[in-house]
Amino acid sequence: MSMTTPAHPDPERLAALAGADPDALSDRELIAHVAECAACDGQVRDLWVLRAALAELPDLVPSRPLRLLPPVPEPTQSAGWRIGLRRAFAPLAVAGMVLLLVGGVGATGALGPADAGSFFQRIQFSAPAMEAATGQPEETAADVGMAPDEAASPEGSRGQTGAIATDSPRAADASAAPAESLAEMTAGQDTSRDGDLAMVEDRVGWILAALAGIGLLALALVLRRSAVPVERGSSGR
Amino acid sequence: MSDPDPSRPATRTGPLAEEAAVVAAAARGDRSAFTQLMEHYQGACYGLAWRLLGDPDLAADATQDAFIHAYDHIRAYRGGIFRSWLLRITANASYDILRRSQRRPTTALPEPEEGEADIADPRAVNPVAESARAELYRALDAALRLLPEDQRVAVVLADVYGMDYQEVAESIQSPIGTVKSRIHRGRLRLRVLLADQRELFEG
Repeated sequence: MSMTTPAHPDPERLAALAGADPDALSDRELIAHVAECAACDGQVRDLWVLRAALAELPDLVPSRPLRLLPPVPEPTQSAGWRIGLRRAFAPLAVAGMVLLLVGGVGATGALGPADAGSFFQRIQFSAPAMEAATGQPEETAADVGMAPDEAASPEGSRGQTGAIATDSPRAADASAAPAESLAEMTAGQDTSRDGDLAMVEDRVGWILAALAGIGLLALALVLRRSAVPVERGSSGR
Repeated sequence: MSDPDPSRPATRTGPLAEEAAVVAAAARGDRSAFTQLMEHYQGACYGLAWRLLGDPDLAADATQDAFIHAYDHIRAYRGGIFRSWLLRITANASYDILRRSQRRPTTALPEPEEGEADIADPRAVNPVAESARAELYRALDAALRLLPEDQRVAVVLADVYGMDYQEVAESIQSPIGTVKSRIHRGRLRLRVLLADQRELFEG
């Protein structure tokens, strides 16, 4: 006469028992059932044998040669030099931009409001000053001594020189005042030229700064180009 | 199909001679020592990766990822069985690839490729017994490939490579209860799959 056993436990509990799960091993009811139930006992034994066989499964030979070490990221001397150049690009470019900006602004006078535009204004004002001094536009000043009636005379045909003007009283009258004005103008021009030269001398520093900025920008671009192969080379895997 | 060659019986990689010293040298940055370790355990790591991924190329990728990770973190190794430490890294790398590839095979995985024959065991003395054993291993690997992915991963890590529940849960980032259930259901399914080959287990 066989003993009656209660309902079979959940198969997963049997699998846990076969795997020596601590919870299953401490389950007295489960242990007692397996001890009395041949079917459950057989199932546990099968699972135990299966586990033992799985634990013996062999290692495998890789399907291809494996790289056992990661590549050494030590840059060569050439690569290190290029990386150094690449790193120098940004500061050089920034320095160049700053110098160009500051030098350009300083050279055009924007940094000094009192002098703003005076250099160019003086150049523009020099021509009207001459007109005011001569009473005529500069390009017609030589025609001052040429009266219409004298223009037809044989001497008048020679007349675009100062000598003709001295032959005519009107020309002499006309030339007296301009002579003084011309002297003043010449003196004024000398003063203006001296001022312009002084101004240019004042701006030389700014101009040189702007030129240095352009040079630095050009150098930065050259360095950037020389570093491009390093970037391309380092991106691949 | 190129299942493991019965004439080349299988074995498992044991510890390396003077392993602690080699590991210590590798941790100090000795690249030749690290190479020695990886050469010794590459079959174990690749076998685990192949059984988890079912693809030779992905398995090789996972193994190399694991080696790189091991190289970067070997200073963090705090003793214990080095093989287990390396296998856990390989399991993590394999599972990462498994998730990335989003491969969810529910049927048989591909058969092993050429060159995946088992590592020869110089201690083999009984060709008949070794042949039967090789046949058992083939049957087990074939049955594992028929398991659903979640069960296969859990069973491989726990029953083939001896990880405990906690290690499996960390590797596959799942709760321990889920891991236990997957392992138990996987074992039951394997038993059913191998029911008509019981004689292989009696050798």
